[in-house]
Parts: sequence; C-alpha cells; structure tokens
Amino acid sequence: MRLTAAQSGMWFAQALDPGSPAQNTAECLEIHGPVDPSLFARTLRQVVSEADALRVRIIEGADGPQQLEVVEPTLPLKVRDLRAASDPDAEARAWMREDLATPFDLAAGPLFAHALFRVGDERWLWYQRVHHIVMDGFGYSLLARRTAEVYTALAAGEEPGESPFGRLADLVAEDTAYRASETYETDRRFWDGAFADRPDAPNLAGRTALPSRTFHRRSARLSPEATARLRESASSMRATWPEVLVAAQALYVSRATGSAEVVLGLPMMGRMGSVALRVPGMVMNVLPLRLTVTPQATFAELTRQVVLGIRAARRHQRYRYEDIRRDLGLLGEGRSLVGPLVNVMPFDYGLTFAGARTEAHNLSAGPVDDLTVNVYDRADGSGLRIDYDGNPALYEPDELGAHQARFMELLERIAETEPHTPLAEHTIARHAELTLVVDEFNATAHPVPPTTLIGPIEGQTVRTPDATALVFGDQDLTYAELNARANRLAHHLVEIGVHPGALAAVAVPRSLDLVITLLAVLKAGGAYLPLDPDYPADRLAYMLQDAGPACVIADRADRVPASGVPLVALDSLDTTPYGTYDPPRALTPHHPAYVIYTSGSTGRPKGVVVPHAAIDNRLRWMQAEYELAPGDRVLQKTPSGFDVSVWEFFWALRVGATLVVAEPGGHKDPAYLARVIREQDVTVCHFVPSMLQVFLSEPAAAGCKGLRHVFCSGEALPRETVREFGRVLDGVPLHNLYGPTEAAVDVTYHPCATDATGPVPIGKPVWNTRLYVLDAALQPCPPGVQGELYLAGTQLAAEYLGRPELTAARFVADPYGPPGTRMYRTGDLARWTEHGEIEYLGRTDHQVKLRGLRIELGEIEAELAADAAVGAASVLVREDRPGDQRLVGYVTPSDTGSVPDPEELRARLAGTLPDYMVPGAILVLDDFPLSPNGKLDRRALPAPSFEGSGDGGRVPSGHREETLTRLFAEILGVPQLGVDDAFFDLGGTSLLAARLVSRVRDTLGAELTIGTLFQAQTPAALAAHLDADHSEADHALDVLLPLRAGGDRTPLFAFHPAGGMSWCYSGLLSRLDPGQPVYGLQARGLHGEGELPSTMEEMAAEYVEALRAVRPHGPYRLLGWSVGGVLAHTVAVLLQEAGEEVELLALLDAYPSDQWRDAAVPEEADALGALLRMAGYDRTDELTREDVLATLQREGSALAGLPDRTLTAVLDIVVNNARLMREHDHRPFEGDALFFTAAAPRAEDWLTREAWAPYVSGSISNHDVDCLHPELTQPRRLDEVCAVLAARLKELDHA
Amino acid sequence: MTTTPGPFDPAVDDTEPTHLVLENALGEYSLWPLFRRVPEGWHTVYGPQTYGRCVARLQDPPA
Repeated sequence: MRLTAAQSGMWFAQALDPGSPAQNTAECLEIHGPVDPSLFARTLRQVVSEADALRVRIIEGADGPQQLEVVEPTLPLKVRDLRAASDPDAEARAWMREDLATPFDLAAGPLFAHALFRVGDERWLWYQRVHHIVMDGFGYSLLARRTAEVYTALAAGEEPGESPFGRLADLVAEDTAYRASETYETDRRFWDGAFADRPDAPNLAGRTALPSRTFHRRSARLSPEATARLRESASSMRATWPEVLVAAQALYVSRATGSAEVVLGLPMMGRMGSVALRVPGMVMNVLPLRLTVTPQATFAELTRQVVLGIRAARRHQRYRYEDIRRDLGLLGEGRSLVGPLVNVMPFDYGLTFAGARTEAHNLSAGPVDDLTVNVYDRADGSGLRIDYDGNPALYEPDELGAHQARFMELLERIAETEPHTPLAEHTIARHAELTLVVDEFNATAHPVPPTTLIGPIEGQTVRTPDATALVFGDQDLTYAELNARANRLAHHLVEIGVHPGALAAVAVPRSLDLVITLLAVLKAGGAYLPLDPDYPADRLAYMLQDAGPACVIADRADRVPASGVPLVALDSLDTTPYGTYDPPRALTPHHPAYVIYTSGSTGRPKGVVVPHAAIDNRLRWMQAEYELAPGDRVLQKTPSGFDVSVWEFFWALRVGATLVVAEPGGHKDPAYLARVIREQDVTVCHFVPSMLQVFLSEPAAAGCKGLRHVFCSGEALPRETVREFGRVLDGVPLHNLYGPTEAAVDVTYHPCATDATGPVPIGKPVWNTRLYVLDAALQPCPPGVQGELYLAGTQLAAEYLGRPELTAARFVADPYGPPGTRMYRTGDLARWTEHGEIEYLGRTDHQVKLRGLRIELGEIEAELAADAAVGAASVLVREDRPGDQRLVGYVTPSDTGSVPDPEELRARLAGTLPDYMVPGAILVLDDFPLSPNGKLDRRALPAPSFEGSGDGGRVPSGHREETLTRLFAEILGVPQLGVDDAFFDLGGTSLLAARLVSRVRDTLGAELTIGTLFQAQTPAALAAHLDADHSEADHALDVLLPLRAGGDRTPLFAFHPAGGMSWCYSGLLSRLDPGQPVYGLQARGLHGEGELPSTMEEMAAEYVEALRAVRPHGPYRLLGWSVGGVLAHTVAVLLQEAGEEVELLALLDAYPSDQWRDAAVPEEADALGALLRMAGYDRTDELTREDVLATLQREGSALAGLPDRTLTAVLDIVVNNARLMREHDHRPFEGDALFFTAAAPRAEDWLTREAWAPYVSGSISNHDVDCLHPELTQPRRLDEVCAVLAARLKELDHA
Repeated sequence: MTTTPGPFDPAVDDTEPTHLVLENALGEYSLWPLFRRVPEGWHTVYGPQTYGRCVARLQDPPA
C-alpha cells in the first residue's frame, strides 16, 4: 500500500536523518487505581490488532515508499514495578526520556512501543511511544479511548464491543480520491491566492534552522481563575478559548518581532470525512494562519480575524502544508511558511480504566522546527497547561522560559482587560521587566549646575591663563591669548547684532581662527552654525537662507556664496580696537549653543537647535567619566559640520587641557594622523569606526601608544575592529559612544573589552538621560526584544529650526518620563541586554550611515527625481564586496521620452549635494523590480558591474599569477577574476590599492609600490613584473604609457603636465567606459638619458609619431592637463595639418603660451612645486628635494617609488617645458574644445581661457570645477570632470 | 520589518482620523497616535484628525 500525502512528508523528513528520534511522539497516562498487568497486555494486543494503521512497517520500493501490514506483531510492552525506588515517578520519567531518544526503524517495525510502570500501590503509568508517520494526536485519543473501553470490559469479565476503527486502506483510498478531486483544485487555488505575495513568517528567534533531534520544553499552567475568565471573555466575543489563545499568541509574536504581519502555524485534525474520523492514523496537517496585528485594533477585532481565518482554513484543511510550501516556491529557498505553531489540544480524555480515573500527559508532539506552543485543556479543572517546545538550535532553555513567562502574564492581563480596548494598551513585557527597562536601567539622575557651554571655558582661563590652550602646526596659543583674541572678535560680533538666541554662521577651514571664531560667537551669546567650506555653493546658500543668521563669519570673503547675510571676513577685519575682556551677555542654559544641519528625508536638510544645557550636561558627564586633566591633549579633526566636533572643540578648553587642531583634510589621512598623534603627544582622539579600521592598518598607528582614550561613534563598531584595536594599540582604552545630533552628540557609552565577543553594545545612558526601546504600540520592549530607540532627558535638542511639524513628529510626548516632557524618536532599531546596555541593530527607515556620515536616501532620491528625464528614483547602500560600501542610484525614464544619462545625473547631484551623498554609480532601469505585493524589491536591484572576466580569461599559470589572481579577487571582492583583468577597471581605489600592495608584500614577500600597479594592473602583468625583478617604473617611463590598451572605442590620448609623467591620468580608467582605451604620452627623458626636445613643435611631432604607432589614422581624441593641454592643442594642429580628423580636444585648466610669455621661467625650486602638483599636492613648506620626497612618501604617492635619476630628470623636464611653452607659437585648431576650469581663486589671476579664442575656431564649452589647479586630477574632482567627459565620449561613440 | 505605518507615520491612505496634536505647559507640540492615551502633562489642541491635517495644523497654527 502506498503512503498517504501526510505520511509522505514525514517519510521524507525521516529519510533526511534516519537515525533521528525527532518523529517520536509519546504520551503517558497516569491511572489512579489498581491495574492488572496481564489484563492490560491482553487489552493492548486486542487494540493493536484492531488498529491496522498502527501495525505497519515502511519500506522503500521501486515506486517509492510502501507500507506493509504486519499481521501479528509481537507486542512491545515493558512492565516494571518501581515502588521500591526512592522516587518511582522520577525513575519512570528517566526511563521514558531515554526511550523517547530511541529512533524507530521504519523498515523493520513495529512503529510503536508500550510500557507500564507501577509507581504506587494504586497508581500506574501507561507510556506509549509511536512514530508520527502512523499516528497523530487525534489518533492517540481514539487509541486511548478504545484501550480504556476494552480494559474496562475485560476487567468486568465482559466481551468488549465491536471495534469502532476504520481501516487504513480506506484512509489511503480517501487520500487518493481527494488528490484527484475538484476540491483539491479548489483548495490549491485558495492557498495560492491567500499567500501569493509570499509573506515573511517572523519567528521569535529571528532566524531559521533545521529541526534538531530533540527539543527543549518549558511547562506552565494558567491559573484556574484566569482560565475561567478567558473562557468567559471568549464567549462574550462569540469565539472559543483556543481562538483567544491564538489571538494572544499573534499579539505576542507581532510585538516581539516588530512585525505587523504574523503567520502562525495551526495543527489541524485534517479529518473531513467519516472514514478519517474513525481511523487512528496519521492525518493531521499544519495550516498557516495569516494575521495583521495593529496597535489601534482591539483584542476583540484580532480575535474576530482569528475566528474567520480558522473558519476559512478549516474548509481547505486537507491541502497539505508541504504542498503549499512547494507551490509558493519556498522549499528551494529553505524559507518557512509559518512562524510559531499553536497546537491546541482540547481532547478531554476523561477516561476511566475499570472505574479508575486517569490523567494524560503529552511527552512529545513530534518534531519542532521552530517553536510549538502546546495547549492542553485537561478535565481536572486545574487551568490550561501551556508547554513551550523549542528547537534547541534556535532557543536556549532560558529564552524559551522568558517568552513563555511573558506570554503567561500577557494571558493573565488579557483575561482581566475589556476586549474592546486597543491592543496598544497591552505590553508584552512582564511587570518586573517594565520596572527594569523603564526605571532601573535609566537611573541616571545627576545634579548639574545651570551653566553654559562657554562659561566653564572662561572660568578655566582665569585659573590657568598661561597654560597652552591651542596648537595648530607650529602655532600655539595660551588660554589668555586665545581668550583675548576671541573676546575682541566677540565684541565686534555683539556690535553687529549677535546676541543670546541669535545665530552666527561660521565658514572657516580648520585653523586657530576656527576655534577663535566659535568661541567668539558663544562669548557674544550667540549660537554658531558651522558651514563646511567644501559643500557645494547651493547647499551653503540654502542653509544661510533657511537659518537666517545675524551674520556669516568666513576666513575670506569668497568662502561663501552671496546671500544678503552680513559677512565678516576675518582676513580684512581689524579687531585690535576692541577690548580683550569677556563681553557681558544675558545668556541662559536654555539659549541655543549651536545649530547643526543634518540630512532630511524629504529632500531638505534640517537645522538641529541644541541648547547650552544639553551640551553642558554632555560635557560634564564626559569629564566625570573620563577625567581629562591638564597635560592631556585632545585632537580636533572632525569637520565642524558634524557634532562630534563639539566635544573635540570644547572639552579640553573647559578643564585646562590642550586642543591640537589637525590640518584641513588631515582627518582622512591615516599616516598624517599617526604622525600628529605621535609628534603632538595627543592623548585623546575620536574615530568613525570605518576610519579607525583604516587607521589601524597604517603601520605607524602602532606607535600611538601615548593615547589615553580613543572614542568611536558615528556608525556600528564591528567587533573585529575592536579586536584589531587590541592588537595594534594594546592597553589603550577604546570607548563606543552613540547619539544623534538631536541629543547633544552622545547619549550612550560602552567601554570596549578587546577580548569580548558578539556585537559591540552602544552601552548605557549618560547622566540625566533615559533610553526607551519601544514597540509599534509605544510599549517598552523587554530585554532582548528589538524595538525603536527613543531618547529622553536633558540632552534633547530644542527643535528643528523653522520646522514645527517635523519637531512635533520627532520630539514627541514621553509617556514614561516626568509629566509634560518629550522623547526623541531616533529611527534606530535597538534592544536592551540583560545588563542594561543597548545594542544597535540598524535603521527603521531609509537613513543610512556611510563612513560615519548620516545620509537620508530620500534626500538623494528627491534630487534624482527632480530631473525631467527621471520617472522614479531609488538609492541604496550596497556592499557587493566586503567592507566596501557604496551608494548606488537607480532611476527609470520619465514619460518625456528622453533617457536619463547617469553621468549627467551625477554631475547634477554633485552641484547640490555634498560629495559623500553623490552615488558612485547610477543605473538606468526600464522598470523597478517589484515584490508580489507591488512594493519595490530592493534585493532584486542589480549590482553595478564591477565584475571580473571570470572564467572567460586565460587561467593563471605559475604560482605568482595564481596567488596574485586570488589576492586581486579578495581585495576587489569579486568572486572570480581573470589574469588579464585590470585592477582599476574593476573599481580599484587608492585605498584598495594600498591594501593590495600590503597583501602582496605579506604573501609573496615582494616589495612593491602603488606605482607598480599603474604599470602592471593585471595579475599577469604584475606577476611578469615581479618575475623579471624589474627595477621600479621601467616601462612606466616610456613615451607611450598604455594606461588601458584594451577596448573597442576610439582611444583617448592624454598628454603629460609639466613634470613629463602621465600617471596622474590613471584615475580616468574607472570613471570612463571600460571599453575606452586610454594612453598617456610622457616626456622622452624620464629614463634619465638623451637630450630634451628643443621646441614644443619637436616634442609634439614626436608624440604624433608615438600615438600613430597605436592608431595610425584618425579620428583622434586628445586630452591634456596644464602643460599637457598646450601639448594636446599643438598635437591636434599637427594632426589636422596632416589631414587627420581630431574629434575631441579636452583642456584641463590649460592656458596658451601667450599667457605665460611674460611670466618668469621657473627654477629648480619651482620645479619641485611642479612635481608636487603633478602628484596632486599644493606645496607647503618643502624646500629641498628630500622634503618633496618625504611628502610624497607620507602621502603614499605613487611617485615616491621613482628612482633618483628619474626625479632628477623630472626636475630638468619641468624647467625645459616651462621654457618651451613660453617660446611656442600656437596655430589655430579647427573645431570645438572642451574646457575644465579649476575655479578656486589662484595667484595667477591673469590666466583666462578666453586667450584660446584665436587658436580654437569653434566654441569653447567650459565647466567650472570648484578646486585648485593641482587638485583637478584628484578622485573627487575627476568624478566631476569625467561626468562631463564620459558624456561627450559617449556622444562621439554614437555619432 | 513592519509593513504597516509606525506610530508617527501617516496611514496608507490617510483618510481616517489617526492622530492628535498635543501641547504641554512650555508650549511645545507633539504629534500623538490616537491609539495611546494622552500622556500626563499634555493636552489635546487638535484632532482626532488625519495625519496630513495634523501636520498642516502644526505648520500653520491658528493665530
């Protein structure tokens, strides 16, 4: 006989793990009275003989599993008298436990076992274990009832009545008929329709696992009173008590998982026909019950949903659970269809054995995938028994017990509560847990004096006037000097209208003046508004217009866009007429201290107004916790627009310590930071975790042992970073801090133990601060349960400037604090640990943190959607290679018919958003992928293609190629890579290049500089390079430098700047189409041999010859930066004169010879500057060649690895080029030119692109890039240049 | 995660009254979901109304 569908599922489950006892079910019936063991054995033999469904063994035949009837099985019955044992019941239970762990052999049979224990003179235990494949819960009840009936009859000397059982064959026939019936089709359609959108099935563990061989069980009883009230409540809602229990479980699961949608599993009898109702066999089914639990719905409404849901499910209950999963395609994905099971067993046996009463105890109800809540209503009036069975792979016994205890308390409260109140009134936390998370964990009250941010700094100045307050490079100021300078400026500010309650914008790069200016604003009583000079003009203009400050203070007038706000330019302000005394002011702790703008979800950044009391509390707590002292030196490196900078700026100055101000831009440079920390004896500094990671991989970081405290905040701190910190800076304390701008920098703190495991908590609340983790109903979550983090207390910001609706939606009434107070809704997901610390778990919305910077994706999406060509836009952070997070934008075309151009969009965003908010890639899609319920399916959005050629390329030959291929793939995070795939084509960045070089060094012991990677970009090339043991930079110094030789487009030829080298153009590779070949043209003498050219024409002619070697005829595409532009133009003219077509002439901040003619020819000292510029740096104080080399090495420049003779040659080339350029006469080029202006103000203010007009017959289309000349080939500027350049190249490709 | 709106989000269609506008003694305002009792120290100045109307009222309070 074949198996029924129900049995087949079990057979497959057992086949997966044949030795598993998980499918054993067992029950123990306690009999209070005398039992005759031989009569009992006779009874069992009769019942077994009547139940043919029980008497089978199952073999695997040619057509699948078959069940064979065993006609006369030996009865497996053990009888023991345990009365002599010290604890007979315990002895019996131990035996049962052991027996329960014994698997059945399906092929051998029998698939059941019995035991009878005498545990008292008048008390017996009847134990039976049955494989689930032949029996279900209802079947058990049929067997037990018949056994009691037969025994009672036999004991009375009567013949038992006729067997009531149906036959197994009937069950199989009924199953076959069902699967061929129309009902089957109807049922299938019903379940298909109900679950077409494949909803998530949240469970309490938050993950899934295969069933284990055993399970944990926790048992509890609901009091008889509560049980009675639940029954009454159920009938008042026209429901049954099991339905009320299901509703309560749905409420619990919804709150504990933070999901409004839950899917519970309901074991159902599955017996529709009269046949099945009479067969003790395996028929039961588990069906999904889908419920929506909202805070505003009442318990009665939820119960109604359950009643209707069960009613519908019951009509289609014969359709198998396994079949629904298969139909929905969940099997292949290993996804579950349901969360916890609620198994209500209302079978009230109430059996008697010859008059002796009995109690039934379930021992195992079968395998536990996740969590099964078994509910028994036994007849003894003792209240509901509720067993929590958990899969040990998912739940520790204690966790299981905690969930159960909360559920029991929830049931008690539901029983007491009027069913028509909203579910929001219910919490899932136990009473004791509420006290813990609301009060005990938040016992942070600490008296602080009513002071301001500035007052204690002025107090400190009086105490230690001669102590060093401020260090910047080789400049320093004492407290008295700093105070005097700040006071002078403050008096001026007072005069022009800065007063308590007023704002003053500050646009000053990091310097002594920045600190002086911030103090001056505060001294005048005003609140400062930092403006990052690196932001696009549009954004600065928006902030000025939105905030309406009394004035804007800048180091020089052109730092900020004209706005109508009065400007104070420090470089033209004389403050000497003003007094050096502290200005009087009516400042209170409630006045604002600063306003910092953060990203806004609706597309507009918003100003957070932080009062003095808030930041004063934060600094007082910090001082009490970490005890900064005179002699300590705090590093100020965070840009003033981010609020971490607030404690950096002011903490030291309040306590007599010294503030060390890092150079502008220095915060991104690990080598520089390590040097400053060492040389300036810095004892305290802060890192965003991702920057800490970069810092720790800098070899010099290990030398920073003088640090006393390192603080981390801004994004999740990975445990691995903490461990790495312990390895590199053993013994230096590391602290993890957390807080939004809206709560005065930080509200939690956690000292990191470098040997701890698991996620790094963000810690406990600081002084006068309360943290709440609340669920969707604003009810507190117990420890371990995830919810949204809310903050309350002294540190809350006052408001969002001019945005009352936003303020009222984020700073909301606090139901748990003192009357009338507010709490701030962070949008962060978090949970409490048992020890009163918070763990950060992510975001509830689309706000992301990228390298510590807070970004509302909505703001970027709004900006993308504002483009007429864009229909819809979505932005996300992808991590397609580990540790490399990138913003990626997705857009669909609008109805206008024009197709969005990714490069134009990026250029557009770069004009309005800060650099870090511009996606690295924008993909145009025809449509967004949607999930079945019509929502954007983010997981289905394609990754931008930074893929290796994989198996398409040549396989590695030799040890070095193989190792290098592996290292490339590892660093770039691509699964596969060919030996001919180029590093920079695949998205390699300078940071990744540094990592690669260090990995190659460690793995192959080969000395390598980043410069080598430019000339040998593929594993094959690099291997060849290492094999040949080349002296560095050989071919990289040839006249024609193939930056990217492959590709089917017309090649782009890029001409060297003054120094003669074209390495600076490698940044073009990853920013232009991968099919775009790029060649650099370099000066002839870089190898240090031969004569230098004597005219520009001679040089150009040589380059024409070189480029014709790769491209004999036009059209040609030419580009040049600086002197390279002059060369490109000259080459273009030569080519045209030879009858060739030149389709692109791109000039990067290059000016014709005429403009230079009267300028002095540079000497070697100037040549050094040119060398630095070629590497992208402005010259500061480097006087000698050694200085320049040191700078290049420190900055990790590729040029640092050049041999001496090359450097000498470069200096000669610079001088020679400067001379040739001055002597050159341009002839006209026929066509248009594409021009990029480095638009920041420069010393050579006479330079103008208009001077090209006589030499370019067509138009000159200009693009301003907001940077200095040397910065033009730095990555972020190249992004802008290439946005335009790539678009132009694409047009040419299509022309 | 949660597929339905949070306590301070608009309902999907925002046609039903779901929120209140509360005020405390300091003159601070708070949006508040109808499903929870008004916390101590706060009183209702507007609503129950749709989320959109509550926001409009906050942006443009009566003189």
